Amino acid sequence: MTTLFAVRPILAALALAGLAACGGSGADTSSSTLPTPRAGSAAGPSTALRIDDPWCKAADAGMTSCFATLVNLTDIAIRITAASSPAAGMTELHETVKNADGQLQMQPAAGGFTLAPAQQFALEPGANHIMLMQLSAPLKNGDPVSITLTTSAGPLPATFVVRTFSGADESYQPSGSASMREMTHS
Amino acid sequence: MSATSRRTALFCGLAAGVGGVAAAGCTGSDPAPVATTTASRAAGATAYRPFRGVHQPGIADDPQPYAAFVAFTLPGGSDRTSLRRLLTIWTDDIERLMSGRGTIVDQEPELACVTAQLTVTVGVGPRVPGLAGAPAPAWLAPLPAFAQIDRLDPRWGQADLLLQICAASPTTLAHAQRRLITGAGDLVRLGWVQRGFREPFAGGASGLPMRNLFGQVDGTVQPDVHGSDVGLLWVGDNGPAWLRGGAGLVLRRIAMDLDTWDRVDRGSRENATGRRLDTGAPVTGRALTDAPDLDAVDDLGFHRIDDAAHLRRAHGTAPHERFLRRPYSYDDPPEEGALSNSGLLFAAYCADPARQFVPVQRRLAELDLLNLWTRPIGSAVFAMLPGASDGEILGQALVA
Repeated sequence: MTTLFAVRPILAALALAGLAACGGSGADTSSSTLPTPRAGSAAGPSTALRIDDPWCKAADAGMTSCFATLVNLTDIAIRITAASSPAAGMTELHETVKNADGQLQMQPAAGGFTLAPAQQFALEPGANHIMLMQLSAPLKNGDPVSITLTTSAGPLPATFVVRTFSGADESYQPSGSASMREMTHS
Repeated sequence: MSATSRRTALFCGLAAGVGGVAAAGCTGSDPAPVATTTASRAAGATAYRPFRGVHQPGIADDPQPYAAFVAFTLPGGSDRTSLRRLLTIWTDDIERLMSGRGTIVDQEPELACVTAQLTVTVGVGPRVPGLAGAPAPAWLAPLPAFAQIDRLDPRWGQADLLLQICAASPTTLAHAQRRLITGAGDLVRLGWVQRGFREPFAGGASGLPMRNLFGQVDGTVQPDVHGSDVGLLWVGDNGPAWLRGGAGLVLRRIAMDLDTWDRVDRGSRENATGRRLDTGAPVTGRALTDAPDLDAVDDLGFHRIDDAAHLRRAHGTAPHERFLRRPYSYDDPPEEGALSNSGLLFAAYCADPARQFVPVQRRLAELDLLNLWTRPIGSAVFAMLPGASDGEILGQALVA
C-alpha cells in the first residue's frame, strides 16, 4: 500500500522545468511525509519548509494568483516575507480580510505570512495567496512557473503548475447580497 | 500505510486499513452472504489500482463494471508544447484521482475518495505523433472500410485523443470524467463520449461470465497477455520508441438490434455464434474453455459449427490474428419511435491492429451470421500510451 500511494504531484512540473527529479523508486516520497530536500532547491529552507500542491491560475496577461500549502517542518516559527518570479514584474503576498462593511477584500499582507511550528498554511482561492503582477507572458494551462519564496529560513524556490480554474473566480458575494463584486486582479 | 494514504483516509472519513487491489475482488471460494456487509462495501469503495508502471492500467487488468470512452480533438495551433502541457495536467490529475485525492483544482475532492478501482488510460489518434514530431506506426489510422457491414456515423468517428475511464462506481467515473475534461481547458475540444457497462457481478472464480445484451457470453477466450502472448498486446522494439509498452486500441461501436434478435429462436441463436447460450461453450464442447471442433459434422454431414458462425469466422487463421477484447455494453435512450438503442463498445487491444485485427474483421465482414443483427456505427483507432514511470508524464517520450 505504501508504494502505491507514492504521489508526487509536482514532479512532472519539476522535470519539465529542467530540474532533476527526486529518485528513490519504491520509496514513499510523498510530499506529505518526510522533509525530502527537493533537487534544485537551496539546502537550508527545503528541509525547514515544504510546499505542497503549488499551482497558479492561468491568465493571458496582467495578474494572477498562485496557491499551495506551506508546511513548517521545524519547531520554530517561519516567516514568509516576500516572493519573486521571473514570470512577473512584481510579486506580492496577499491576504484576504473583512473590511469595515464586512466584505472580504484582498490586500498585501504587510507582515507576510507567519507559520507556527509544524503549521500547515494554506494559500487558496478566496483566501491568502501569492499575487503575480505585470506578467511578462501569458501563463498557459499546464505551464511551469518558477516562484521563489523569501523566508526567515532562507530562499525557497519551487515550481508551480499553471491550471485553468473557473472556481472562486476571485470575486466575492457577501452574504445577503445579490451583487457580485469582481476583484480587479483576478 | 503511508502518510499520504493515511491523509487520504482521514480526509475522506474512511476507516484506515481498508483498500488494496485484492480487497475488491471475489477471492474466496465460499459463496458471499446474501447481505453484503458494510465492511466489504467499504473495501470495494477504497479499492484502487496503481497508476505508475511500464504499462498504463485499464488494459491488461480486469475490466471494471463501468466505462466511459471520451474522445477529444485538438484545436488549431496545437503542437508538441501544447501536447506536453496537456499530458502534464492529465498525468497529475489521473494519478491523484486514482489514489483517492481530488485534482489540484478539484472543487469536489470528496467525490474522489471512492476510488472504486478507477483507471484512466490515455490514447492518441493518428494526427498526434506528427504534431509532436514523432513517427507514427502504420496502423495508427482509421480502419479500412468494411463496406458490407459498416454503417459508420461520423459522430462516433476518429479523434485526436482518448480518455478511457473505468471504475466500479459510476459516481467515481463521472467525477473523474468531469475533472479531466475541465482540467484540460482549451487545450482540447470535447468530441464524443461513449458510456458502457459490464455485469458488475461478473468475473473471478465464483463470479458470472460477461454477457452482452444478446445474452451471449462475450470476451472470454483471450490471449494470455500476462504470459506467452504478451508480445501480442504491447508494442515492442519494432515499434516507435515513444510507444514501446503501449498498445493499439480499436474501438468499434456495434449497434445490436434487440428487436429482430427477439424473433430468433434459441437454436438459431446458438448456431449464429457457434456457442451455447447457457455456458458459452462451443456447440461441439461442454465447457467455456473447450477448444471448438471446427471439423465436427452432424448426421447430415453439415459442420456442427456453422460455416457462417461467428466463432468459426472469427477464429484466427494464424497465431498472430488474436487480440485482447475488453468490451462494454451500451444501452442508451432509444431514438423517437424506437424501442431500443443498445449495443457493444467493442474494444480490442493489440500491438499491431493492421496485422492482428484487420484480417479477422475482414473475414467477419465477408461472412458472419451475427451481421444479420449487428451494425458497426462507430470506429476509431488509438495508440494507448506506455505507462508513466516515476518522475515521468504520460507520453514522456513523445512530447518531453
